[in-house]
Amino acid sequence: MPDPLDIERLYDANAQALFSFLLNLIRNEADTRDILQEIFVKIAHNPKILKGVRNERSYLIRLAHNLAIDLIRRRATRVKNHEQIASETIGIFTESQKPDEAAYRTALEAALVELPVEQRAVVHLKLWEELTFDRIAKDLELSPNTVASRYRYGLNKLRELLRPLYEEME
Amino acid sequence: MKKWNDMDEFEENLKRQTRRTIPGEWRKQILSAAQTRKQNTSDSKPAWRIKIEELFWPNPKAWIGMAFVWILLGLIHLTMVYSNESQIMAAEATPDIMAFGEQEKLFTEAFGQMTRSEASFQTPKKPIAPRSEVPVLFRHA
Repeated sequence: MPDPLDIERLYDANAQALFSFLLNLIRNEADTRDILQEIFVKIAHNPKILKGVRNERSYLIRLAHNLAIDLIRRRATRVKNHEQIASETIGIFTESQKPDEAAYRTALEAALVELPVEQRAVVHLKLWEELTFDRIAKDLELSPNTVASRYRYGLNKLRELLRPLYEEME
Repeated sequence: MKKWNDMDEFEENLKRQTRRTIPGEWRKQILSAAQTRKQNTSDSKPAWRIKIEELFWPNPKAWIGMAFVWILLGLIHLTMVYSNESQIMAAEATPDIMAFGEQEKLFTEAFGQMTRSEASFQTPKKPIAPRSEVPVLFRHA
């Protein structure tokens, strides 16, 4: 069993990245918190799961991704609640005081929601975690080609969705 | 921000957007939940159970599945052995049964219509001996 500091260190090193990733996928703060807690409780319950792991962050991202996908699937079965959940979506970026920047972030958040969750996961890890395609492929247990194509599709869709905003600003 | 046609700049622009930070109070809540769970786990489980869990980690379900397959194979094996033994016993018993049948036939012929069981309980009757042949010991009784 690791000493308490290990879990604290694990939290301090990874919680922010996991929070952003989960929030982008789930778009619900309460659910993000629940999954984040589930991850750390799981590790505290069975610290051995990290024993043979080469890269803690990769392992945690995979765990977070799987739990988020499970949650999204469970949500999808509850069709009635789906609209309610959609209306509960929360921003993933910090609020900006600059009107242009604030408008851009709002539009970007809305555009990200339009992406299928698998594309969104890849786009997030590539853009904001700055992971390579190979690394994302390993983390999400996909082929690098799939990851690269998901990223391209995702980015193109974002660009198309943000096009009116760019044109307005020009 | 304005050049949406330039993919690299578009990407860079996306990367520059600062993300929300994790609420500070979550740290304490999540870590305390994790610690509580850890304490409960280590308090409630006896050492032997922890050892077994360590032994069967990382996939206890796979081990349980394998154990189930072994048990199933064992049961099939036992069933087959049992059925073979009964077949062998049946095969060995057939000549005995035939011989027993023959004996019973002879027995019936020897004792007439009397059944075998009746015959077995029938004690042969001694013919009554004349008084002169009765032993001296009982003659003056």
